[in-house]
Amino acid sequence: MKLLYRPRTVVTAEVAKLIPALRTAIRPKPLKLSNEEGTLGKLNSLSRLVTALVRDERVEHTYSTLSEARDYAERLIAVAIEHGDCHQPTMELADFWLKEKQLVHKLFKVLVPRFRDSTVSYTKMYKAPIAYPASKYEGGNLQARADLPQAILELRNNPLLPVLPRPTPTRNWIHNVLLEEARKEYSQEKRMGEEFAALERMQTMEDPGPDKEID
Amino acid sequence: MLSRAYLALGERLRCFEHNFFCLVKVLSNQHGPPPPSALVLVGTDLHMPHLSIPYPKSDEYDSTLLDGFLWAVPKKRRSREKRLTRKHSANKQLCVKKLLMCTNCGGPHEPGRLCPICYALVKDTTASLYERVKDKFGLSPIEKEILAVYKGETPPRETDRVIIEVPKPRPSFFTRNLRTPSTPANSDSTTVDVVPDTKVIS
Repeated sequence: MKLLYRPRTVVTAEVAKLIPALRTAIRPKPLKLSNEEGTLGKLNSLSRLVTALVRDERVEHTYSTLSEARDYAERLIAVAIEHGDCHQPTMELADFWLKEKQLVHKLFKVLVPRFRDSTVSYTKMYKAPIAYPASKYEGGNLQARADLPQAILELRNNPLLPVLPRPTPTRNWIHNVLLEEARKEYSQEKRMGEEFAALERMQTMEDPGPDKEID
Repeated sequence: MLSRAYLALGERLRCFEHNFFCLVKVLSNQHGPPPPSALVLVGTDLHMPHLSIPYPKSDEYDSTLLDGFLWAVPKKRRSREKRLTRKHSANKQLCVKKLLMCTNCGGPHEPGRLCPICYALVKDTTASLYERVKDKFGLSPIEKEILAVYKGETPPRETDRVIIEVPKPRPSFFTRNLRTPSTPANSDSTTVDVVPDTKVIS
Protein backbone atom coordinates (compact mmCIF):
# COMPACT_ATOMS: atom_id res chain seq x y z
CA MET A 1 0.00 0.00 0.00
CA LYS A 2 1.19 3.47 -0.78
CA LEU A 3 1.97 5.49 2.31
CA LEU A 4 -0.39 8.44 2.29
CA TYR A 5 0.69 9.83 5.63
CA ARG A 6 4.11 10.18 7.07
CA PRO A 7 4.46 7.91 10.12
CA ARG A 8 4.72 9.73 13.39
CA THR A 9 8.30 9.49 14.60
CA VAL A 10 8.37 12.10 17.35
CA VAL A 11 7.76 9.89 20.37
CA THR A 12 9.33 10.31 23.75
CA ALA A 13 11.47 7.47 25.01
CA GLU A 14 9.08 6.46 27.80
CA VAL A 15 6.05 6.19 25.55
CA ALA A 16 8.05 4.30 22.92
CA LYS A 17 8.78 1.67 25.54
CA LEU A 18 5.15 1.36 26.50
CA ILE A 19 3.54 1.14 23.08
CA PRO A 20 4.74 -1.33 20.44
CA ALA A 21 5.57 0.25 17.08
CA LEU A 22 3.07 -0.21 14.28
CA ARG A 23 3.95 -1.18 10.70
CA THR A 24 1.26 0.94 9.11
CA ALA A 25 1.27 4.65 8.38
CA ILE A 26 -0.55 6.58 11.08
CA ARG A 27 -2.36 9.76 10.14
CA PRO A 28 -1.71 12.79 12.36
CA LYS A 29 -5.36 13.13 13.38
CA PRO A 30 -8.16 10.57 13.51
CA LEU A 31 -10.75 10.79 10.75
CA LYS A 32 -13.94 12.70 11.48
CA LEU A 33 -16.30 9.80 10.97
CA SER A 34 -19.78 11.08 11.62
CA ASN A 35 -22.00 9.09 13.93
CA GLU A 36 -25.35 9.88 15.50
CA GLU A 37 -24.27 8.63 18.89
CA GLY A 38 -21.11 10.69 18.97
CA THR A 39 -17.60 9.48 19.71
CA LEU A 40 -18.68 6.35 21.54
CA GLY A 41 -20.95 5.36 18.68
CA LYS A 42 -18.09 5.84 16.25
CA LEU A 43 -15.83 3.63 18.37
CA ASN A 44 -18.58 1.02 18.62
CA SER A 45 -19.01 0.91 14.85
CA LEU A 46 -15.24 0.61 14.46
CA SER A 47 -15.14 -2.17 17.04
CA ARG A 48 -17.80 -4.02 15.08
CA LEU A 49 -15.46 -3.88 12.08
CA VAL A 50 -12.49 -5.08 14.15
CA THR A 51 -14.59 -7.95 15.52
CA ALA A 52 -15.64 -8.94 12.01
CA LEU A 53 -12.02 -8.77 10.87
CA VAL A 54 -10.84 -11.13 13.62
CA ARG A 55 -13.79 -13.49 13.02
CA ASP A 56 -13.87 -13.60 9.20
CA GLU A 57 -10.31 -12.43 8.46
CA ARG A 58 -11.65 -10.33 5.58
CA VAL A 59 -13.98 -7.30 5.74
CA GLU A 60 -15.58 -5.06 3.15
CA HIS A 61 -16.43 -1.43 3.84
CA THR A 62 -15.60 2.08 2.69
CA TYR A 63 -11.92 2.86 2.35
CA SER A 64 -11.78 5.62 4.97
CA THR A 65 -13.61 3.66 7.67
CA LEU A 66 -11.55 0.56 7.02
CA SER A 67 -8.26 2.44 7.17
CA GLU A 68 -9.37 3.79 10.55
CA ALA A 69 -10.38 0.33 11.81
CA ARG A 70 -7.14 -1.09 10.48
CA ASP A 71 -5.05 1.01 12.87
CA TYR A 72 -7.01 -0.21 15.88
CA ALA A 73 -6.77 -3.84 14.75
CA GLU A 74 -3.01 -3.50 14.25
CA ARG A 75 -2.68 -1.93 17.68
CA LEU A 76 -4.71 -4.72 19.29
CA ILE A 77 -2.61 -7.50 17.74
CA ALA A 78 0.65 -5.70 18.51
CA VAL A 79 -0.28 -5.23 22.15
CA ALA A 80 -1.42 -8.86 22.37
CA ILE A 81 1.94 -10.03 20.99
CA GLU A 82 3.81 -7.69 23.32
CA HIS A 83 2.10 -8.50 26.62
CA GLY A 84 0.29 -11.81 26.21
CA ASP A 85 -2.98 -12.83 27.82
CA CYS A 86 -1.88 -12.40 31.47
CA HIS A 87 -1.85 -8.61 31.24
CA GLN A 88 -4.91 -6.82 32.54
CA PRO A 89 -4.83 -3.67 30.32
CA THR A 90 -4.39 -5.84 27.24
CA MET A 91 -7.35 -7.99 28.21
CA GLU A 92 -9.42 -4.85 28.77
CA LEU A 93 -8.44 -3.62 25.32
CA ALA A 94 -9.40 -6.98 23.80
CA ASP A 95 -12.66 -6.90 25.74
CA PHE A 96 -13.49 -3.49 24.27
CA TRP A 97 -12.58 -4.19 20.66
CA LEU A 98 -13.91 -7.73 20.36
CA LYS A 99 -17.65 -7.73 20.86
CA GLU A 100 -17.88 -11.53 20.52
CA LYS A 101 -15.99 -12.87 23.50
CA GLN A 102 -15.03 -16.21 21.96
CA LEU A 103 -12.77 -14.28 19.62
CA VAL A 104 -10.48 -13.33 22.53
CA HIS A 105 -9.33 -16.97 22.45
CA LYS A 106 -8.69 -16.71 18.72
CA LEU A 107 -6.69 -13.53 19.19
CA PHE A 108 -4.27 -15.06 21.69
CA LYS A 109 -4.17 -18.65 20.41
CA VAL A 110 -4.25 -18.19 16.63
CA LEU A 111 -3.30 -14.64 15.68
CA VAL A 112 -0.50 -14.09 18.20
CA PRO A 113 1.45 -17.23 17.11
CA ARG A 114 0.79 -16.37 13.47
CA PHE A 115 2.16 -12.85 13.67
CA ARG A 116 4.82 -13.26 16.36
CA ASP A 117 7.75 -13.40 13.95
CA SER A 118 6.21 -11.13 11.33
CA THR A 119 8.30 -8.27 9.99
CA VAL A 120 5.51 -6.59 8.02
CA SER A 121 2.10 -5.27 8.96
CA TYR A 122 -0.52 -7.72 10.18
CA THR A 123 -3.25 -6.53 7.83
CA LYS A 124 -3.54 -5.65 4.18
CA MET A 125 -5.93 -3.44 2.24
CA TYR A 126 -7.19 -3.67 -1.32
CA LYS A 127 -9.47 -1.51 -3.41
CA ALA A 128 -12.63 -3.31 -4.40
CA PRO A 129 -13.82 -3.38 -8.02
CA ILE A 130 -16.44 -0.79 -8.98
CA ALA A 131 -19.74 -2.27 -10.09
CA TYR A 132 -20.77 -0.62 -13.34
CA PRO A 133 -22.95 1.13 -14.34
CA ALA A 134 -22.28 3.44 -11.43
CA SER A 135 -25.10 5.81 -10.66
CA LYS A 136 -23.35 9.09 -9.94
CA TYR A 137 -21.48 11.36 -12.26
CA GLU A 138 -19.35 13.79 -10.30
CA GLY A 139 -16.64 16.00 -11.62
CA GLY A 140 -16.40 14.15 -14.90
CA ASN A 141 -15.53 10.90 -13.15
CA LEU A 142 -17.65 7.87 -12.55
CA GLN A 143 -18.08 7.41 -8.83
CA ALA A 144 -18.91 4.23 -7.03
CA ARG A 145 -22.36 3.68 -5.65
CA ALA A 146 -22.60 4.66 -2.01
CA ASP A 147 -24.01 1.30 -0.95
CA LEU A 148 -21.21 -0.75 -2.47
CA PRO A 149 -18.00 -1.70 -0.70
CA GLN A 150 -15.03 0.32 -1.81
CA ALA A 151 -12.22 -1.47 -0.03
CA ILE A 152 -11.27 -4.81 1.46
CA LEU A 153 -9.30 -5.30 4.66
CA GLU A 154 -7.83 -8.68 5.50
CA LEU A 155 -5.43 -10.32 7.91
CA ARG A 156 -2.25 -11.60 6.35
CA ASN A 157 -1.57 -15.36 6.00
CA ASN A 158 -5.27 -16.13 6.28
CA PRO A 159 -6.71 -19.52 5.28
CA LEU A 160 -9.04 -17.95 2.68
CA LEU A 161 -8.55 -17.88 -1.07
CA PRO A 162 -6.20 -15.09 -2.14
CA VAL A 163 -7.88 -12.08 -3.77
CA LEU A 164 -4.84 -11.21 -5.86
CA PRO A 165 -3.72 -13.51 -8.68
CA ARG A 166 -0.44 -15.36 -8.46
CA PRO A 167 2.45 -13.11 -9.47
CA THR A 168 3.48 -13.61 -13.07
CA PRO A 169 7.05 -14.84 -13.47
CA THR A 170 9.51 -12.30 -14.87
CA ARG A 171 13.06 -12.66 -16.11
CA ASN A 172 14.33 -10.88 -13.00
CA TRP A 173 13.29 -13.76 -10.74
CA ILE A 174 16.34 -15.51 -9.30
CA HIS A 175 15.68 -18.91 -10.85
CA ASN A 176 15.10 -17.29 -14.25
CA VAL A 177 18.39 -15.41 -13.92
CA LEU A 178 20.21 -18.64 -12.99
CA LEU A 179 18.60 -20.58 -15.85
CA GLU A 180 19.53 -17.85 -18.31
CA GLU A 181 23.15 -17.90 -17.16
CA ALA A 182 23.27 -21.71 -17.40
CA ARG A 183 21.87 -21.51 -20.92
CA LYS A 184 24.51 -18.97 -21.91
CA GLU A 185 27.29 -21.09 -20.41
CA TYR A 186 26.08 -24.21 -22.19
CA SER A 187 25.87 -22.49 -25.56
CA GLN A 188 29.30 -20.94 -25.07
CA GLU A 189 30.85 -24.32 -24.23
CA LYS A 190 29.17 -25.88 -27.24
CA ARG A 191 30.49 -23.15 -29.52
CA MET A 192 34.00 -23.45 -28.09
CA GLY A 193 33.96 -27.21 -28.61
CA GLU A 194 32.84 -26.79 -32.22
CA GLU A 195 35.52 -24.22 -32.86
CA PHE A 196 38.15 -26.45 -31.29
CA ALA A 197 37.11 -29.40 -33.43
CA ALA A 198 37.18 -27.26 -36.56
CA LEU A 199 40.65 -26.02 -35.67
CA GLU A 200 41.90 -29.57 -35.19
CA ARG A 201 40.48 -30.58 -38.54
CA MET A 202 42.21 -27.66 -40.23
CA GLN A 203 45.50 -28.59 -38.60
CA THR A 204 45.24 -32.19 -39.79
CA MET A 205 44.55 -31.00 -43.34
CA GLU A 206 47.39 -28.49 -43.34
CA ASP A 207 49.75 -30.88 -41.64
CA PRO A 208 52.17 -32.21 -44.30
CA GLY A 209 52.64 -35.45 -42.42
CA PRO A 210 55.77 -37.52 -42.06
CA ASP A 211 55.70 -38.73 -45.67
CA LYS A 212 55.85 -35.29 -47.30
CA GLU A 213 59.08 -33.43 -47.60
CA ILE A 214 59.46 -29.86 -46.61
CA ASP A 215 61.12 -27.53 -49.10
CA MET B 1 -69.81 56.54 -14.74
CA LEU B 2 -71.00 53.97 -17.20
CA SER B 3 -68.93 55.42 -20.04
CA ARG B 4 -65.80 55.26 -17.88
CA ALA B 5 -66.51 51.66 -17.11
CA TYR B 6 -66.96 50.99 -20.83
CA LEU B 7 -63.63 52.65 -21.56
CA ALA B 8 -61.83 50.56 -18.93
CA LEU B 9 -63.46 47.42 -20.25
CA GLY B 10 -62.45 48.32 -23.79
CA GLU B 11 -58.83 48.77 -22.64
CA ARG B 12 -58.87 45.30 -21.10
CA LEU B 13 -60.41 43.80 -24.20
CA ARG B 14 -57.79 45.36 -26.47
CA CYS B 15 -55.11 43.93 -24.31
CA PHE B 16 -56.81 40.53 -24.42
CA GLU B 17 -57.10 40.73 -28.19
CA HIS B 18 -53.38 41.30 -28.51
CA ASN B 19 -52.60 38.32 -26.29
CA PHE B 20 -55.08 36.13 -28.12
CA PHE B 21 -53.57 36.91 -31.52
CA CYS B 22 -50.16 36.17 -30.20
CA LEU B 23 -51.49 32.80 -29.01
CA VAL B 24 -53.07 32.08 -32.37
CA LYS B 25 -49.77 32.96 -34.02
CA VAL B 26 -47.84 30.64 -31.76
CA LEU B 27 -50.28 27.78 -32.09
CA SER B 28 -50.67 27.98 -35.87
CA ASN B 29 -46.93 28.68 -36.29
CA GLN B 30 -47.60 31.32 -38.92
CA HIS B 31 -45.47 34.37 -39.42
CA GLY B 32 -47.46 35.88 -42.27
CA PRO B 33 -49.82 38.83 -42.47
CA PRO B 34 -52.16 39.74 -39.59
CA PRO B 35 -55.37 37.72 -39.22
CA PRO B 36 -58.53 38.73 -41.06
CA SER B 37 -60.66 41.57 -39.78
CA ALA B 38 -63.42 39.24 -38.64
CA LEU B 39 -61.17 38.00 -35.87
CA VAL B 40 -60.21 41.54 -34.96
CA LEU B 41 -63.81 42.21 -34.23
CA VAL B 42 -64.00 39.46 -31.70
CA GLY B 43 -64.92 40.94 -28.41
CA THR B 44 -66.14 44.25 -29.81
CA ASP B 45 -69.68 43.23 -29.29
CA LEU B 46 -70.08 45.73 -26.49
CA HIS B 47 -69.13 48.65 -28.70
CA MET B 48 -71.04 47.49 -31.74
CA PRO B 49 -73.86 45.22 -30.65
CA HIS B 50 -75.39 45.21 -34.14
CA LEU B 51 -72.53 43.05 -35.54
CA SER B 52 -73.37 39.41 -36.13
CA ILE B 53 -70.16 37.95 -34.66
CA PRO B 54 -71.02 37.13 -31.08
CA TYR B 55 -68.66 37.60 -28.19
CA PRO B 56 -67.50 34.12 -27.11
CA LYS B 57 -68.72 32.96 -23.75
CA SER B 58 -66.25 32.34 -20.98
CA ASP B 59 -66.79 28.55 -20.95
CA GLU B 60 -65.83 28.30 -24.63
CA TYR B 61 -62.20 29.18 -23.83
CA ASP B 62 -59.81 26.60 -22.49
CA SER B 63 -58.81 28.45 -19.38
CA THR B 64 -55.66 26.35 -18.87
CA LEU B 65 -54.34 27.53 -22.23
CA LEU B 66 -54.58 31.15 -21.32
CA ASP B 67 -53.43 30.80 -17.71
CA GLY B 68 -49.73 31.46 -17.41
CA PHE B 69 -49.51 32.52 -21.01
CA LEU B 70 -46.35 34.60 -21.61
CA TRP B 71 -45.05 33.96 -18.09
CA ALA B 72 -41.79 31.97 -18.14
CA VAL B 73 -40.28 32.22 -21.58
CA PRO B 74 -36.72 32.95 -22.68
CA LYS B 75 -36.20 36.68 -23.06
CA LYS B 76 -32.96 36.47 -25.01
CA ARG B 77 -31.66 34.11 -27.61
CA ARG B 78 -29.14 31.62 -26.14
CA SER B 79 -25.87 32.00 -27.97
CA ARG B 80 -24.23 29.15 -29.85
CA GLU B 81 -21.31 28.92 -27.43
CA LYS B 82 -23.58 28.65 -24.41
CA ARG B 83 -25.83 26.14 -26.15
CA LEU B 84 -22.92 23.90 -27.13
CA THR B 85 -21.38 24.20 -23.67
CA ARG B 86 -24.63 23.15 -22.04
CA LYS B 87 -24.90 20.28 -24.50
CA HIS B 88 -21.37 18.90 -24.43
CA SER B 89 -19.83 20.19 -21.17
CA ALA B 90 -17.23 18.13 -19.36
CA ASN B 91 -19.50 16.90 -16.59
CA LYS B 92 -21.85 15.30 -19.10
CA GLN B 93 -19.15 13.18 -20.70
CA LEU B 94 -18.24 9.62 -19.86
CA CYS B 95 -14.52 9.65 -19.22
CA VAL B 96 -12.37 6.97 -20.77
CA LYS B 97 -10.70 4.89 -18.08
CA LYS B 98 -7.55 2.92 -18.43
CA LEU B 99 -8.11 -0.81 -18.18
CA LEU B 100 -5.71 -3.67 -17.54
CA MET B 101 -6.07 -7.36 -18.32
CA CYS B 102 -6.27 -9.69 -15.33
CA THR B 103 -3.36 -12.15 -15.34
CA ASN B 104 -5.58 -14.83 -13.81
CA CYS B 105 -8.79 -14.77 -15.85
CA GLY B 106 -8.05 -12.34 -18.66
CA GLY B 107 -10.95 -10.06 -17.81
CA PRO B 108 -10.61 -6.27 -17.69
CA HIS B 109 -10.01 -4.46 -14.43
CA GLU B 110 -9.03 -0.95 -13.42
CA PRO B 111 -5.44 -0.38 -12.38
CA GLY B 112 -5.11 -0.42 -8.60
CA ARG B 113 -8.36 -2.33 -8.13
CA LEU B 114 -9.16 -6.02 -7.91
CA CYS B 115 -10.50 -7.95 -10.88
CA PRO B 116 -14.32 -8.06 -10.52
CA ILE B 117 -14.64 -11.54 -12.07
CA CYS B 118 -11.99 -13.18 -9.88
CA TYR B 119 -13.14 -11.39 -6.75
CA ALA B 120 -16.76 -12.44 -7.26
CA LEU B 121 -15.63 -16.09 -7.53
CA VAL B 122 -13.45 -15.79 -4.43
CA LYS B 123 -16.25 -14.12 -2.49
CA ASP B 124 -18.74 -16.82 -3.46
CA THR B 125 -16.43 -19.65 -2.42
CA THR B 126 -15.42 -17.90 0.80
CA ALA B 127 -19.07 -17.48 1.79
CA SER B 128 -19.52 -21.27 1.71
CA LEU B 129 -16.37 -21.64 3.82
CA TYR B 130 -17.81 -19.23 6.41
CA GLU B 131 -20.97 -21.33 6.53
CA ARG B 132 -19.00 -24.50 7.21
CA VAL B 133 -16.96 -22.77 9.93
CA LYS B 134 -20.17 -21.51 11.52
CA ASP B 135 -21.68 -25.01 11.42
CA LYS B 136 -18.58 -26.55 12.93
CA PHE B 137 -17.72 -24.08 15.67
CA GLY B 138 -20.88 -22.11 16.38
CA LEU B 139 -20.22 -19.99 19.44
CA SER B 140 -17.31 -22.10 20.69
CA PRO B 141 -13.87 -20.49 20.41
CA ILE B 142 -11.53 -21.22 17.51
CA GLU B 143 -8.20 -22.22 19.01
CA LYS B 144 -6.39 -23.54 15.93
CA GLU B 145 -5.65 -22.38 12.44
CA ILE B 146 -8.11 -23.45 9.76
CA LEU B 147 -7.18 -25.42 6.65
CA ALA B 148 -9.79 -25.23 3.92
CA VAL B 149 -10.03 -28.29 1.69
CA TYR B 150 -12.07 -27.63 -1.42
CA LYS B 151 -14.14 -30.08 -3.46
CA GLY B 152 -11.98 -32.55 -5.35
CA GLU B 153 -8.92 -32.02 -3.16
CA THR B 154 -7.43 -34.56 -0.78
CA PRO B 155 -6.77 -33.36 2.76
CA PRO B 156 -3.25 -33.86 4.13
CA ARG B 157 -2.73 -36.82 6.45
CA GLU B 158 -0.85 -35.06 9.23
CA THR B 159 -1.61 -31.47 10.05
CA ASP B 160 -1.93 -29.37 13.17
CA ARG B 161 -4.76 -27.36 11.63
CA VAL B 162 -8.50 -27.87 11.73
CA ILE B 163 -9.56 -29.26 8.36
CA ILE B 164 -12.78 -27.80 6.97
CA GLU B 165 -14.18 -29.28 3.78
CA VAL B 166 -15.81 -26.77 1.46
CA PRO B 167 -18.51 -28.15 -0.87
CA LYS B 168 -17.41 -25.88 -3.71
CA PRO B 169 -14.36 -26.42 -5.91
CA ARG B 170 -11.44 -24.07 -5.90
CA PRO B 171 -12.19 -21.38 -8.50
CA SER B 172 -10.43 -21.77 -11.80
CA PHE B 173 -10.29 -19.43 -14.74
CA PHE B 174 -10.86 -22.21 -17.28
CA THR B 175 -14.37 -22.66 -18.65
CA ARG B 176 -16.49 -25.55 -17.47
CA ASN B 177 -16.06 -27.74 -20.56
CA LEU B 178 -12.29 -27.47 -20.20
CA ARG B 179 -12.39 -28.30 -16.49
CA THR B 180 -14.43 -31.51 -16.75
CA PRO B 181 -12.13 -34.53 -17.23
CA SER B 182 -13.15 -36.48 -20.33
CA THR B 183 -11.62 -39.29 -22.37
CA PRO B 184 -12.86 -40.19 -25.83
CA ALA B 185 -14.61 -43.57 -25.91
CA ASN B 186 -13.05 -46.32 -28.04
CA SER B 187 -15.38 -47.20 -30.86
CA ASP B 188 -15.51 -50.67 -32.47
CA SER B 189 -17.18 -49.54 -35.64
CA THR B 190 -15.11 -49.84 -38.77
CA THR B 191 -17.35 -47.84 -41.04
CA VAL B 192 -15.98 -44.58 -42.25
CA ASP B 193 -18.18 -41.65 -43.06
CA VAL B 194 -17.10 -40.48 -46.47
CA VAL B 195 -17.48 -36.78 -46.94
CA PRO B 196 -18.62 -36.14 -50.53
CA ASP B 197 -16.38 -33.95 -52.61
CA THR B 198 -17.51 -30.50 -53.38
CA LYS B 199 -18.76 -30.15 -56.90
CA VAL B 200 -16.75 -27.91 -59.13
CA ILE B 201 -18.93 -25.74 -61.22
CA SER B 202 -17.47 -25.49 -64.70
